Amino acid sequence: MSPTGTTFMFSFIICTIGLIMYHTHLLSTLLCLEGMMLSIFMALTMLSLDLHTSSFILPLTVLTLSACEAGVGLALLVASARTHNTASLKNLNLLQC
Amino acid sequence: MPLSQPIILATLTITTLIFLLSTHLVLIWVALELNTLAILPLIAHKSHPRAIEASTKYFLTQAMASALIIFSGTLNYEMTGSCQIVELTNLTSMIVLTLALFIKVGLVPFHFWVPEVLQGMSTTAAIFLLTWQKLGPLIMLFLISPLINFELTSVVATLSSLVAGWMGLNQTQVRKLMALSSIAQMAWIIVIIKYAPSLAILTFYIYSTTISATLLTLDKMSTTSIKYLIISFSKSPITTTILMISLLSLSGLPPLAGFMPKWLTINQLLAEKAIWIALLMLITSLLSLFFYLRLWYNSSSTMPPSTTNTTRLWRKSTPQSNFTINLLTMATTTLLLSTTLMKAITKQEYSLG
Amino acid sequence: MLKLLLATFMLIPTTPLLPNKITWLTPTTYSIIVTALALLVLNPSDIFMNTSGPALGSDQLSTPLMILSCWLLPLMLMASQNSMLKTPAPQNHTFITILAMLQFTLLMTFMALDLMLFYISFEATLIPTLIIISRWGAQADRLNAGIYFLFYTITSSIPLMIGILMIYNLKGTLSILTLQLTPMTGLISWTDTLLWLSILLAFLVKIPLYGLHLWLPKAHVEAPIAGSMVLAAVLLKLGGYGLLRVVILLTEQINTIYPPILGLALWGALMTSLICLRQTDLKSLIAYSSVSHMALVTAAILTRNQLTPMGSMILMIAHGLTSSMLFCLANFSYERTHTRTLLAMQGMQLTTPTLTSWWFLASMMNMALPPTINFVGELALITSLFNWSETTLLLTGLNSTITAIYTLYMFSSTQQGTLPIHTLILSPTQTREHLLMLLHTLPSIILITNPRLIYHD
Repeated sequence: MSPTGTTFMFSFIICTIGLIMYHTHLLSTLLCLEGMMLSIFMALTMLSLDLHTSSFILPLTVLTLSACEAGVGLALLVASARTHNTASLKNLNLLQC
Repeated sequence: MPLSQPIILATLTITTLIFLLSTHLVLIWVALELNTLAILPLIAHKSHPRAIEASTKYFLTQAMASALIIFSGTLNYEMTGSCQIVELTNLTSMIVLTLALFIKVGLVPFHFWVPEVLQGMSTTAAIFLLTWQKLGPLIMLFLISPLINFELTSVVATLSSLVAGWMGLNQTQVRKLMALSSIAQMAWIIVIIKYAPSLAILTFYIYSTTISATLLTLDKMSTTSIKYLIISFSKSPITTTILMISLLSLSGLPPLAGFMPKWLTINQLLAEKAIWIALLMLITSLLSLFFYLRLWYNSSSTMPPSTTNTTRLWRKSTPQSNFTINLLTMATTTLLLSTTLMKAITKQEYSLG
Repeated sequence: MLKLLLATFMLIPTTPLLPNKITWLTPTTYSIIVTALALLVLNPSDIFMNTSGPALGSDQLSTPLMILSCWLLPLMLMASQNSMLKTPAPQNHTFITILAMLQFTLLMTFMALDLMLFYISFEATLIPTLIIISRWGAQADRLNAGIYFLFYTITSSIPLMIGILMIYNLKGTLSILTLQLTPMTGLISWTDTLLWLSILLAFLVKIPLYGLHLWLPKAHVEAPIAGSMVLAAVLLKLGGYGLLRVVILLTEQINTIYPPILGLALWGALMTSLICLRQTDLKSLIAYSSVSHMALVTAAILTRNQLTPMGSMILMIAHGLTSSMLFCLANFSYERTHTRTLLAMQGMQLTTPTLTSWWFLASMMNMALPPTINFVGELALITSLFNWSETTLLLTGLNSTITAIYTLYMFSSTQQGTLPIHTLILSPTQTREHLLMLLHTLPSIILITNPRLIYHD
């Protein structure tokens, strides 16, 4: 595996661990998610350069969809701030029983 | 909502069609993402704290699973230069993809979101979540089935069956019970997907029919907790009878359709010499039988003139069974009769010939 | 075959459509006609399989049990009429429909020639029985009894299913006829012992073997009268029938698993007879006495003697009629005194003297007095056990003695003695009850003259 590939892989894994382990604020979780997607985007871009495929449609698709995802995540952030008065993940406990 | 609903339903349909038709990993990923984004408005239909919480939880798990899927695709692309899902030869990306799909369908180490999300949504949307939304991940599993590691799937399947049954033992919320039953049914699909993928799809079809009938009936009776089931027979005997039949079919007791996938699956597992897996799957499914039996007892074994402790909810309207429910229930009951006879007869012909 | 199956099946849609006035009349008449049709199948000189198609058929092992289950349906309907008097009409319809469903699945079980079809029908009997126990039982404990019943039988039948499918993977066929002709070769390792044990387990629970029998007294005590009758008369016999069918298929090499089970069965017969002696609950006493009788059948079947099929078939039929009759009698007393406690229902001879004569007849049959077919069956079984090992005579002889003791105890404690004050005014016996008793005793008395009708060597 190339050094750039390894770097992106590690950044993805670190963001995943952040998503899994830190349940403080919804915003930080969304940031971790965005970090995951961005590292994928970077990796795909670098790969396209490495493999000399002039098509950049794959990374752009990923970027677009991750932007959509981030938008939905922010919408949910607003919604939970409105219904729960806070966006802390600790407060999402109505359904546990 | 009325204007956006056709768009949402169209997106759900089109993305599932993309699953069915595509083998390119990025395209499938796009479909998965769009599918997740489209179902979110259905979950958060009412701006209620529980609905918002359910949609947030659903969103986070699904987004993480699809990120893992695109990650495994990128890894495979880097290693082998191929983006086709059927050429996923890199072992790491294979396992990551399998685990991501397990998160998507909600199998055991990653099953915690299913009951909670289901609890926060309406019953009709729950049908979508439990049947239609699982089609995509299952088709991906179908496509990669020759490459799947059988040890991984069998361990996950037995654990799912065990844990789902176990969690259901002291559960009183009907939608959570249905979520747990869905986890247990998914276990039957996963355990066989390596050796007989078409059988897994058959299991999924029968499961979808049965659970749709069950959830539609529960929706008709506006039941959220087991204690409201106690008065259901006096309110609507026919709907409750349909519920009973569907529950028995879900639990897989022999004369009903739910038994057929179990039978064929066990037969296939024994042909592959996986006797202990077969035994464990059957024994752990007894745990789910116990909670189906409790639902069944509460809905039908305590009818008048026996006295009950629950007051009747007069404000709820009397449910009437409709054509869809009846049709689905017919599908869950009559299937086995025909297949049993067919199987018995064809087997005899083979043995005589 | 099909005339029986289809006729029974059509009772299921017929019953809900009946007017309320003839809810009980029509199914009873109908099932009596079906029973008459079933008698045509009985052809004792024909020792071969009487098949209709590759999946269904009957031979001399299944025909008597088929006829017994057909015979029981009108009797169950007659017996339940009084207890179902106060329930609303739709529930009566449901009740009869479920009895008809149970009848259909029982017939399928006895007719199945394919082991998998046999398994499916065997399991299919569970659901109607469960509904009968858990819906129409008298007390709240019935739900618990239903759970016991369902989980004991399903847990034990899981190994059966795996065993059947393993045979299918080994041999490529599940037809009982074909499997009899092709013995299992090369099966001597411990896994094969395990395979056969797993196949036997379901039947041993159903019959039930001592130690696996806890579901039975519970189910009997909580079930309504029809449920008790069919449980004692036919459902226990499913276990014996399955054992008879499967034991033929077993290989000669695997003899190591029999002696422990055999010893446990004989020991269990003795123990359950002793338990009967200290019962206070009448229905529970009768239930334990059926465990004791069926344990003798289990032990004898496992010896695989020449005499065994004959003896066990005769004893199963005889015990089916006798225990069903005893449950009916217990129910008559229960409907009058509203208690099952032996102490509170003594001295019934003074209030219902005609029933006492039926009680006497049933008790004599239950303790296997010489002219009855119970005696013929027990004699054949004890002989075959004696043939296997002389020391079994100690256990079987002691068991017969204790059987006589507890039967007399049951008879004297219900019929003789002084009347408790609350039972001074009881309703007189009805013609329906006498007819019911007559229909139970008539076959056993006729069979005394020719037991070869049941099994022809």
